[in-house]
Formats: sequence, C-alpha cells, structure tokens
Amino acid sequence: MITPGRFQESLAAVCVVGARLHARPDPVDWLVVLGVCGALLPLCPESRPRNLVLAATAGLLSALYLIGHIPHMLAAASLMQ
Amino acid sequence: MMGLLWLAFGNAGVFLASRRLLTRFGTGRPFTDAVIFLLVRLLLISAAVALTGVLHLLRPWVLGSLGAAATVLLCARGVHRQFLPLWKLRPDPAVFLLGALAIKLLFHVWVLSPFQGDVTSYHLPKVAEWVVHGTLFTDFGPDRRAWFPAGFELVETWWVVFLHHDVLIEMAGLEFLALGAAAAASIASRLGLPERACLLAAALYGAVPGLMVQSVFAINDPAAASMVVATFALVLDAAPTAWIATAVALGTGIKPTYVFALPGCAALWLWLRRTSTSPRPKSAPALWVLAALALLLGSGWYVRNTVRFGNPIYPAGTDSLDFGRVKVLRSVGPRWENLSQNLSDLDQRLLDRRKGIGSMMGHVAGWGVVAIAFGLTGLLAACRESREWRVVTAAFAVSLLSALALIENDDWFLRYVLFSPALPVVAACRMATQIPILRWPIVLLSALTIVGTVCTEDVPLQSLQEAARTDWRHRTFARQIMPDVDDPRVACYGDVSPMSYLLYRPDYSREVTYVRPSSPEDLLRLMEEHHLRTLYALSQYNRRGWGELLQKCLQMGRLKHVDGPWYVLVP
Repeated sequence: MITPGRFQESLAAVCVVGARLHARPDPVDWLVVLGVCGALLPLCPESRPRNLVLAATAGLLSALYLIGHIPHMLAAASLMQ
Repeated sequence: MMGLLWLAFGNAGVFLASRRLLTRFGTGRPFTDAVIFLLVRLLLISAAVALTGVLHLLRPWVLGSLGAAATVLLCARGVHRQFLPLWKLRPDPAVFLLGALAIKLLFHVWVLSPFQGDVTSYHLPKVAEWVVHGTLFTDFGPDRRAWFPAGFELVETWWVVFLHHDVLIEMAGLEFLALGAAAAASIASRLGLPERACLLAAALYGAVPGLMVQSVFAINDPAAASMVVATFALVLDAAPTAWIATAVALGTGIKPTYVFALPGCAALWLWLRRTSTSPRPKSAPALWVLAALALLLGSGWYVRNTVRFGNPIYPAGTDSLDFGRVKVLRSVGPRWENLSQNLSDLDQRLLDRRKGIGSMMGHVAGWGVVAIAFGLTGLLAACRESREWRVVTAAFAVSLLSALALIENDDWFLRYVLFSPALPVVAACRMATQIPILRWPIVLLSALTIVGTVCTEDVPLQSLQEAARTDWRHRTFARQIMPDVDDPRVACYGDVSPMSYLLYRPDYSREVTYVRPSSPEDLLRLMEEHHLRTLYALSQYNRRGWGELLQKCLQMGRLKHVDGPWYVLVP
C-alpha cells in the first residue's frame, strides 16, 4: 500500500530530479536516472516491481557509463599500434 | 639467489608472526580477522624496515635472518598449521573473480616498473638511497616533497631490499589492496551479508579501476584509501580500540589525506559507543604495545619535519608545491570553495567519460561501472530499508565531504577519495543477494573492468608488450621516457620533478650523487671533487636560478650538452 510517507518520499525524489534538470537539462544524466529510481521505489511496495525498478536503473546507469568509457578503454589498448 | 632465499625467509617470518598475533588478539570473526592479519603484517614489515634502517642495518641478510629465526621458532610452535587451506574455498563467481584479479595484478607487478612523475621524483629516490646505503639517513634527492610521510615507502623498500632490484616493488600496492578488499568484506559481513556476498564485496572493491590500476603504479593514494576502509571496518565491527588506533597511526604515516577522511570514522565510532548495548571489547595491554609501535611509525615523519623544519607537513607552504597554474597546499584547513568545486567536479567526472584510467587519474573518478551503476542504486535501496545502512552511509558521506573540503581542487584530486566506492560495492552485493540474477552482470562487468584495465591511459598495449619482452633484470620504462648515457656514476642537479629514480637503474647499479650548487663554479667544483664526469640536470619548473646556473656552465665551456637532460664535464 502506498502510504502518505511513501508518497512524500517519492515527491522529494521528484523535486531532486526537477532541480537537477533545471540546473542541467540532460534527461540521461546519472543523477536524474537515480532520482527517478528514488521516486519510483516508494511507489513499489511489492518486491517484484521494486526489483524491476532497481535492475532497470542499474542497467541504464551501466549503459551510460560504458558508452562514455569504453572508447577510452579501447584507445588505451590500441593507441600506439 | 641468496636474495630470493632471504625474501622467502623474511616473508615467511612476517606471515607466521602475524598469524601468531592474530591467534592471540583476533576477534573470532573471519573477515575482520583478515583485516587485522593484513594490518599486523604491514605493521611488522614497516617496523622491520624502519628499525634496521635507523640502525644502519637495512640489508637482505639482516632482515632475512630475522625472518628465518622467526620462521623456525613459530613453526616449532605449530603456527604454520593455523592457515586457512585455500583449496577448501568453494568454487564461486566471487572466488573466480578474486583469482582473475590476482592474476592480472601479479602480471602487472612482474611487467611494470615505476615511471610516473611523482613516484620517480619524490617517492622512490629515497627508497633507492635507503636500499643502496642500508640506512634511512640518506640524501632524499632534490625534490623537497620527499619529506612528506613515507609509510608506504617502507613497505616498498621491503619488496626491493632483498633482491636489490625493483622488479617486485609494486607488491607493496598489492598488500594494501588486499587490506582494502578484506575491509570491504568485513563491512559487508557486519552489515549482515552472507559469506558469498562478502567475498564478492572483496573482489568488487579490489576491482575498482582507480584503486586497482594505481596500486600497481607504486602510488600511495590507494594505500591511504585502503587504510580508510580498514579503519571503517574495524570501527563498524567494534574491534578493540587498540586495533583501531593501530590502523589510524599506520594510515596517518602513509599520507595526510588519510587523516582528511577520519571525521566519518570518528563519528561512526562515537555513534556506536553511544548506541551499542553489548559490552565493549577490552584491549589487552600487549595490544597497546602494537598500537604504540604503529604510533611511533606513523608519527615519526611528522615529528622529524617539526624538529627539522618547524612544520609537520613540510614542504607544504613552500614553492615545491607551486606548479604554475596550480598551487597546492597554500593553506591547510577546510574551505567551502574546495568543497563546492570538488563536488561539482566529482559530479562531472563520475562516469569516467573524459579520459581512460591512468596513473594520475586526471579528470576521472575511477570508481568503475559496478560501483556507480549497481552500487549507487543498491545504496539507495539499502538506505530506504535499513537504519544501520543509513548510519554507515552518513559516516562515509561525512568522510567524503571532509576530504573534499580539505583537498584543493586540481585535475587529479579524486584519487584521494578512493575509499568512497567501498560502501557502494557492498551495497551492490546486498542488491545481488536480494535479486540473485543481478549477480551475473555484476561479475561480468567486473571481469570486463579487470580485462579493460590491463592497458591504461599511460601504459598502452605497445609499451606493455615491450616491457614483457624485456629481460626482467633490465626492465625499465626509463628508455621510453628519456635518453640514457653509459656511465655508472652520475651527478644529479635537479629541483621539482627531476624523475631521478630512473637514474638508479632497476638493480640500483648506478651511483647517483645529488649536487646542490650555489653557483656555476660550485657545480663544477662539486663534480670534480666527486670525480664525476656526467651530469643529469632536469626539473619541470625552472626556479631559484636553476636554469641560469646551468646555462652559465655551458657558456663557460666547462659543460657540454650531450642529449636530453645529460651533460658532460669538459676537463
């Protein structure tokens, strides 16, 4: 059940996301992704949707990291060849 | 051959002595005991090097004989039977990950040799001098930053003194990395994670890219980070106060940045003392002797600097830390500007998008994909569900914030806060325990990180291949960095960042004499007095008339430029 406490928690996370988007309008920013997760978690009292939110967040953040970092990894391996 | 024997005896003695002390003073909790075991090992190694160094007895046969005596004595008491048989470890992805990590790191230890600017300019020249002269009372080289605390260098000295060669020097970093990994496992265990998850936490923290790469580059920042995590682990596990004091003292002796992170540990310690209902464990008097020894080792550097220069953190405040655009340690103390600028840069660099991982960690955080993607998500979930997690997270956050407030902003400051990913990786393990399917991507991404950091920003594949092909006796990156001359005795005239460690050669076969001339005539006189024909003159920053003095010698026709930083004396 979604209690008022959980709702407030979710609202606080939405505020964080809003503030971040206002400061830096980038929807695939790591803090925005984490903030959306923080907003969704209180609304998922059941374990299955909760786990889905967590896994999706981790997957999205992994993709964000790897897209930016893998070119540098590959460059180090072939830079001087 | 004898060097190898002394090395084996020395390490066997320290291993057995650490095990004996653990049997007597351990907590009975396996992961915390692993932290204590590694801590005692580092304490004994540091004490052995410092004591023999002070007594002018820093020689392989002295340390090897002490180790052999300890080995015989402790084996007679049956201490060798108390080690955990490694073959009884259950096959598990975490164990395989730890194995892969160990293989990769040992490969790096074998193939790499020191090359990084700071390391070769002010960390290792004194290690070379200690090993060559068998004492700690030697010339520290021209870079005054060599007067910073040298707790890490004591352990590096241990790994080069026996062979009189630096092929194993990176093992010092591995010792501390193992301590950090054990500490992460201990924190996981204390936070209620099962054994498999604790082992995974150890592997994940060991595979944090910034920590893993820097550990084999002879840099002391990962060692300081591991000591912070070890202190957190001991505090969280309510270990006897003497053990915590031992960790604090040893950490302080490595680098002042360790102290920057202590407020969080102190806050956690106070909070646990106030809220814990179980009786506090007492520290045996003998344990306080170990803590006193650690205090002596950790504080000695600061006392020396206070007595000699009137400043415990000398050369802070001198132009040795003035790098043109960047001026470091102009003032000591927390500042809002530091905190806001560093937090902003942490936010920008967290995803490691601007550069690859390298020795300096310029413009990257080096936390890695697992700590960020799974760790931060797991931490969010854990803090929502558990008060204990909220408290520990708050303590880590206090440490991070206090360090960021104290550290001056530059391109590579994030290597001073590499203790921070420890809690996120533990949170990732908690999440993988609750959602078992996530264990696989975590292990796979860690394996990718391990493989992906075999080559780094500053050691690309070609350099690595070339080093691997070279005979280990002559393995050095010096030839790739600067030209060399064939003279077994050279004079070194340098200032900031002279990279003078590269002069010694990997087997310390070249005699290096540091000259500090007051005039061109003085430089020529010093070289003639010491019967030196070749001069190495290099400094990244020309200050206090360094370059003019050299130019005058050239104009006088008494020095002739050969190549790069090399000159010869004209008779």
